[in-house]
Formats: sequence, structure tokens, C-alpha cells
Amino acid sequence: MKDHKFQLIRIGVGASGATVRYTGETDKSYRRIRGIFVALPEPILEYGATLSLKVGGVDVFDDDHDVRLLTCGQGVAPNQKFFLFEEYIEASGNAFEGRFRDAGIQGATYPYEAKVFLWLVNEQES
Amino acid sequence: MVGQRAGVVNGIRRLNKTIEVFRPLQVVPIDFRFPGDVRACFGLQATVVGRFPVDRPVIPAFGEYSLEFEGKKIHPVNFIVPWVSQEVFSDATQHRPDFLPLAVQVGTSRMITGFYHDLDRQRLDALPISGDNQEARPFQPYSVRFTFHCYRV
Repeated sequence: MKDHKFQLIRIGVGASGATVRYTGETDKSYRRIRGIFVALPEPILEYGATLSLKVGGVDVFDDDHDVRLLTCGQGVAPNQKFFLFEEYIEASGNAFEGRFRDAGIQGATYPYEAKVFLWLVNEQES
Repeated sequence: MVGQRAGVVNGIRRLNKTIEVFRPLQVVPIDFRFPGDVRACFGLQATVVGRFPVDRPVIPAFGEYSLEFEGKKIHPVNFIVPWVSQEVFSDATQHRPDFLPLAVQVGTSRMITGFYHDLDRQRLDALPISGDNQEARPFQPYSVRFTFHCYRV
């Protein structure tokens, strides 16, 4: 049985201050969302950027959740980059949706792509 | 990680409350109510949202805040908010910057009150003014974002 998958969600941000909605489904081969990591191309984009997330209609991060709480620098090992969920969040093909909001920081380059990684696992609990 | 001490739990809400600061030394009141499905608050994070022309990468005490729960019955938090340059701290794991563990049971009141106080660090830590322009830099308005980590009912 496959135990881990890192599912990538690509969010295209076209302009300064843009709000972009994203939707999708988790891979149905995996039971649980274990963690999340957001990667932005420039550190200055992290000032004030927010990401909301709903999985199966339940709020995981409400609007205004700071991307800085979900990201980290390049020097951090891959298995330590993720914000880990203490609660059990069902994957199993569950629908997810959310919004990414760019903060409109001066000096940033547009367009860019925000990458959201979901860490999916097959464990029931850990 | 603090939240993991409780093991795997079924429901967590992460509530965000953002306040705006427009003047140096401003005191901004905080006054809101937890939603009905929150039964306890187990942690709090406060982050300054803004980018400032200051001469150091970290200002440990950019502002201070105080929070009371349950209609001022419980007063567990008096703390400072740092400002951190994202460019300089690119190697750090920052999932839980300044996470304050709490164990506040939310009862009938659900009120959270308190204040945030700007400590005027934008002026005190400003980059030296060079050239002919000797005017002080204007205060740059910013936000402070509070994230409350709560268990659902």
C-alpha cells in the first residue's frame, strides 16, 4: 500500500493584490491530510499573503490565515517544511476549496505561481 | 509541537482577527466574540503584517498586547509582538512563530477583549536619513494578525 503522497495545487496569481479561488479533490488513494506547505517564489510575497482552506465543507483555515504560518525557508529539510494538522482531516477524494490573496507588496514580480502542497498519508492516526 | 500534545483531535478552528494601526504609539482596542462551536482556546499567535525600512532584521518588541477572555474574567495574556524580516529569515521554520500555548475553556460569554499598543519602533529603528532630504519618514500603517487555535465543541 502506498503511504505518502505530496499533492500539488498550483495557484496562478496574475496581478498585485489579486484574490484567486482554487478548488480540487484530494487523491482518493489516501485517507488523511497530514500537513500543508505553501511555497512562494519570493520571500517578500509572504508579507501579508493569506490562504483559506476548506476540506469537505469544513473550515481548516478561515479567511485571513497568514501564509507565513504555513511556509518556511529554503534551508529547511523537506520533511520539516510542512505545517502538521493535529486534527484528523479526511482525504479519500474529499473536495477542497479556498482562496489565496496576494498582499500587493511593492517590488514583487507578477505574474507568479503559488504552490500549495498537501501531504497525504494512509495512516489512521499518528 | 504544542498542539500535538493532545494527540489527534477531531475538530480544530483557527480563527484570525486582524487589527489596523495607523499612528505611532496608538492603542487599538480588541473586542470580539468566539463563534458558538468553540469550546477551548489552546494557543495564540500574533504577527505584524508589514514591511518597514528599518535597520535590523528583527525587532523583538515591535508592539505589545493584552487579552482577556470570558468577559474579562480570565486574563492570561500580556505579551509582545516582534517584527521579523522575511528576506533575512529565509532559512527558519516559521510555522508557529511566537506560538503562545493557552488552556482557556470557553464558557458562556465568549468575549475576548484587550488592546494592542504600538511601541514606535518604526521611528526608533528607522534607517539613517541620507542626502538632502532630512525629513523624518512618515509612519507606515500596518496590521497585526492574531490567530487563535481552538478546539471545536
